[in-house]
Amino acid sequence: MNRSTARAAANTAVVDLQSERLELPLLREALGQLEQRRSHLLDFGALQQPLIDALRPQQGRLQVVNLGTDGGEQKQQRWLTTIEQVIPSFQHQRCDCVLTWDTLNYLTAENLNQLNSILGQIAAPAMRLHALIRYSKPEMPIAPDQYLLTEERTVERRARTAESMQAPRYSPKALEKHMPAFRVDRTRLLGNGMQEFILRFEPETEPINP
Amino acid sequence: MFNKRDQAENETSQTAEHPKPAASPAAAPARTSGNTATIGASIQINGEVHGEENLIIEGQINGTVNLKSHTLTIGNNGKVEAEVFAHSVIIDGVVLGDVLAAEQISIRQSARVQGNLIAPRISLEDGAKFRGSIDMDTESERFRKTFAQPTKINPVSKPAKTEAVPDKPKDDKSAADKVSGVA
Repeated sequence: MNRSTARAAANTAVVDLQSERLELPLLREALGQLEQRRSHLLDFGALQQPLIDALRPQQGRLQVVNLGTDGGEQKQQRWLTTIEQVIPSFQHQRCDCVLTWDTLNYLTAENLNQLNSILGQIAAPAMRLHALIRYSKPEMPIAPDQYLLTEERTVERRARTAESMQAPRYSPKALEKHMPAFRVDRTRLLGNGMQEFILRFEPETEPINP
Repeated sequence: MFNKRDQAENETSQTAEHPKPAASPAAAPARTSGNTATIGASIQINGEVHGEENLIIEGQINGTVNLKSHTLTIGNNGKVEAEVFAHSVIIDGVVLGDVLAAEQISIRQSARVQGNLIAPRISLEDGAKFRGSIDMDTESERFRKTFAQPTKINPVSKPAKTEAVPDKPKDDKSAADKVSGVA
């Protein structure tokens, strides 16, 4: 996405501030796998009790970077710095799963490539990455939404802002191009126009030791 | 420095949730069951806080807080920039640093936490702010080193009786480690 174009497009439309409940089958499946074996999860969102509960049976680990609250100009670079700072936490147990929620929509192609490199340093073999991509609509909020996982493992989406900007509308091929260590494993188009993705870490070379 | 308050009435349910481990001969005289010490809002401590009773922090602590057999509450006004070790930890205020609890960490709605939390059980209220990691692995080296202390041999006193061991889940290895540590 061209960042200047995105900024120019901001404020041109207003998105629906109402919350909605989402059924995310790929996320549900990923959470189910966390209960099957001891996992180390990286969450770009806020800390949520249902995630703790999912990890507890196998005494798993959860790393929370809570990017959504870090908004404003240059937020993408701060996000990447924040994620980079947690690399040492995965030294003893590599990352099995990453929940990005809708943050990938706010990263440029260059940012995605940087993220690809950072995650390559912490990834366990076949690490999964879950993402929500705004695909059908040309507009998206200027800041990531808030996603609240319920006990039933549905997700409540709450908009933080009514201002909107142009959406990059990343396709599966575009994601694979900008994040070359990942392959799109599964996708699912949701009723609200978002596309749910599971990407799998499949580097051509062995992951780098952190 | 500490303002002791008898909060037995208020703490009843909390104490029931977090039973104390078997009494060690060395620790027993210092224990004041039912009492909770409070560090007031105007107090700032730089260094190590160590104790053998429950503690509420409403002031500021910079350094280390060590209450491995007791419950630590960081109150609404409390700010802790420290490494914290306790049996159970309840966070209402601000914590910057790592928190290790043998039993449970409760993060309340008003809490602001940045650091690594290590405990077999962690509960969270909506509205709490958190950035860091959660580790529920009681077999981790850091957890074991913290809570599995070497057994002290006292030639005069008898070892703690089995009946004194608090209720513990059959599969709770951390509790087993803790009991052996204080016997």
